[in-house]
Amino acid sequence: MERMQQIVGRARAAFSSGRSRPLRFRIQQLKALERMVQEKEKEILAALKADLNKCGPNAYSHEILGVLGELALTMEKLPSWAAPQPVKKNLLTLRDEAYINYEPLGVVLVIGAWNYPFVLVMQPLIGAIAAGNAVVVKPSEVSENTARLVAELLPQYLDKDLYPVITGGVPETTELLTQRFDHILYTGNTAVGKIVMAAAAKHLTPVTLELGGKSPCYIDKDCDLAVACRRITWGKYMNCGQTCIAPDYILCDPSIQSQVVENIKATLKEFYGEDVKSSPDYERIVNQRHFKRVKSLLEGQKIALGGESDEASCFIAPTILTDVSPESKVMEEEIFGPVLPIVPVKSVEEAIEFINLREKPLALYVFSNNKQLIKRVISETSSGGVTGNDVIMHFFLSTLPFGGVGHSGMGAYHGKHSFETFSHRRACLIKDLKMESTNKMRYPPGSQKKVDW
Amino acid sequence: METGAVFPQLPESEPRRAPEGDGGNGSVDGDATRNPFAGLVSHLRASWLSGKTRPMEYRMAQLKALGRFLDDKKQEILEATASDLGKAPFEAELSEILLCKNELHETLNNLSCWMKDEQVDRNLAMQLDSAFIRKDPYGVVLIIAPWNYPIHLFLVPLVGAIAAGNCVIVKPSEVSKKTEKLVAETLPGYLDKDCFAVVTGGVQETTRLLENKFDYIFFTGSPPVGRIIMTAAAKHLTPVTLELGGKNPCYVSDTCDVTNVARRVAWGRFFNAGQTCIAPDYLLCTIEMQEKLLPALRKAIDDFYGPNPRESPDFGRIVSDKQFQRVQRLLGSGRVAIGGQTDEAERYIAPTVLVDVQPLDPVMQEEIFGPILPIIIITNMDEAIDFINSRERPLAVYAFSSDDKVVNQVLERTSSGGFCGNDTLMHVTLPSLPFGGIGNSGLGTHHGKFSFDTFSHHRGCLKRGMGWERLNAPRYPPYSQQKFGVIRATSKVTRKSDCTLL
Repeated sequence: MERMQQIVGRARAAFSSGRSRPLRFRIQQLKALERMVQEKEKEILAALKADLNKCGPNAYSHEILGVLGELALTMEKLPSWAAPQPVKKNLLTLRDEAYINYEPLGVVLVIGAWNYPFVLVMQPLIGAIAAGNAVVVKPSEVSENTARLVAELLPQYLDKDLYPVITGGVPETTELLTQRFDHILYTGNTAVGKIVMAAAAKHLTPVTLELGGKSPCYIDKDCDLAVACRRITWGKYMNCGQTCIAPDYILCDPSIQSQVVENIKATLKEFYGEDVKSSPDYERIVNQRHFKRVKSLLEGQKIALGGESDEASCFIAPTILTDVSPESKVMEEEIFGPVLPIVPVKSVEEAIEFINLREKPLALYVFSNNKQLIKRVISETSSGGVTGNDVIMHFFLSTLPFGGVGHSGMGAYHGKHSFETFSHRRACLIKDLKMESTNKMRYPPGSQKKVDW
Repeated sequence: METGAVFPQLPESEPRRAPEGDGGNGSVDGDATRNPFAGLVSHLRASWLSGKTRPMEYRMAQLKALGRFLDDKKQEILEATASDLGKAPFEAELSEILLCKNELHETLNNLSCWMKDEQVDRNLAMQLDSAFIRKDPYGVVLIIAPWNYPIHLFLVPLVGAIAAGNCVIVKPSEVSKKTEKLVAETLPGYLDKDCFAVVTGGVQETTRLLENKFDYIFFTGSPPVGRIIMTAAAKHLTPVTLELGGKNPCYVSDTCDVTNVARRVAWGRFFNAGQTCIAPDYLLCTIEMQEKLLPALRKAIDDFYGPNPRESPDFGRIVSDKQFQRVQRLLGSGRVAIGGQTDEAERYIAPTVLVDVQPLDPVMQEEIFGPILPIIIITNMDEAIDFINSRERPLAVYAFSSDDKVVNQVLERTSSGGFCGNDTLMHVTLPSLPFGGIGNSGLGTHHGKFSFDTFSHHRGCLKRGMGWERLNAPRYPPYSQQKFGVIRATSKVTRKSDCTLL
């Protein structure tokens, strides 16, 4: 499609003009983004409600608050992040200037996901603008209201040529991926992640892939079970389980399994009342396809709680499955829904072995009063990130790099890590044209004397 | 087969596999003909999972053993590289031994510091928590090295991969045959065979090797092969560092000390007979500067290699017949102003400078990787910068001028992996500078701490307490405007100039 080529071409020409590089310009664009989020808050919340049935305060704290925080942090720190960084010199370079220069990469592509459709395009966009790049934004077509809104709003507030928005589905994205970019940040699933990386390979484009997996949650017998279960309930069922870092499944001793179920049951009542379906704070599955997919995971399972569903409204009740077999379907793919399997394990060793036999997850959770045990679980496993004695929260600390490892992704962003992801660190050594005598040692003719010195 | 090279044996018992994917173990039954390296990769992965490579003492011991390899085998290394590339012992000692030992020492000196958890700043809501970045090994790393600095270009990344706690398969280049043999036969004896292996072979073997799942791939070589490597890596979502190449421009302004420029450029260009990824590939200057440079270059070449460089023990040879023929063809571009002599039997090409070169000539269409320096005439700095920017971004940009402003202009208005003002090659000898490309010249970096960071997964960790649950209340449903105000206050990052209504 010529249109795609034209849009990316215009962004590249705009970048080559150099106007996105001065710090003043970047901060001006970020300020405009901040104005956009503040002025259009109502519209953004309405789009999120339409796409995911997310209620106002929830949508605000998960999608808008984080964006405003990231904007404020970036605008404040940008001058110090972007400044050339002098490096340690050796004897030979003592009189020279040696530093790392942070430079934009060029034209960046940001592909968003549907589950947190606003923050997942905005946060990468902020980092890419801050680093001085042109940015092509491709929001997910599944969250169509947010996609439409982003496409309408960005050109109203930002430089139209430097930061175009492209909407569309698989054919448009496939076409877009044939264009040459200088970095691609993709948020989504593992299968498409492979396709994005293969397309990037044709142009030797570096990628940041924020993917997913089954984030395990180990509950030790020695812990405050009520608190642990309350925190897990919050993280699991927020956004109807459609969170890449939701605790996907629980590993715990069979003796506490029923207590876990009771605690979660009590918490659910606290959160959503007697009739979950009528709580304004409980979301829906994004579409029919995912509704059917999640529902099918319940087949043949022991349902300890929940299991009710309503296809017309894509409603699935908060559900817990017990005594789940590791070979069952619900343990094969990332659930991405309000279904929580509990897999009994007899020891922390068994839990660690279970986790390590599987693909590396995006997040790992461990609950225990025993600090040594938590240390051990972290040290003997691998995952994108970790929160101990809570869930989700490591996402909210922007000084921590947020990203996956193995099948859960590569690269990271948030805060300063976004700036670094979207920058090229150029090694610079500036010498004097004089002082040639110090160079004599390295020139031929060589001799043993020179080498020994 | 002691070295575990080429066709490794299957391990006695294979670890269990998860239902989907393979937990990273390659093909299901490790059939030796279909996937000859599956057993080796799976053995290394089991070693990694055992946690053997994690303790600092283990990594230090392996690194020290690498140091002993360089010491014990120094003579053999000099002989092998002399045989493969006609490498002058002086050059070989510098690039294959000294620079490698610098990396080793830098790493040994700093490893304990690099391995520590990196504490990070916390926001108001997390003041009572512990937040840090943990440096985790990736697992099984594959290092594929080229032939031009055949020890350096596998050993320096290997230092980083070991330091970061990984198991490693090293695949040296089959083109530098004697060095490949030396490494395959002697290196494994110095390292833990359960965790480190050398695999030999050509394109076919490398292709089979790449069918396996690695947790990181580090490749040094050409852009076309870089694409193949990254495409293979994409099948397993394996992160990569690609150290590639390009045509490194060298701009010489009219205000400069011609003698010094000529020496520094000649040294960088003709080192290793031009077979250096960061060598100045072509020169950009005015016609007046060219007139001054030619005699200065002639003198520099004479000072370095004598009147007949073929007889100098300090001037190298082209690595293979294929490369020799390729480089020789490039002599047809423009006009030979200095050098131009060749000897096919010895794979000798004299240090050569070409003039009257046009941008579309063959010598300007590919990375030269040989002892030929074409000069392109431009009328001013702006034209030089435009010329550079109209081509793929190179691994290095060089600019020579007595005027600081000129050097800075070239730096600011171009893009490249690295930059060196008023010299060539030297920026890569400082381990505190990251070494890597951009665009066609590569992605990722290494050297010094950058190697350690490249081969580690930076894992964001937050450890909270079980108490103070009341503080979490605002985040739980049922949602209300009041709860929301508390969240906003405790997690907000305010602008210094903001007025906040409390």
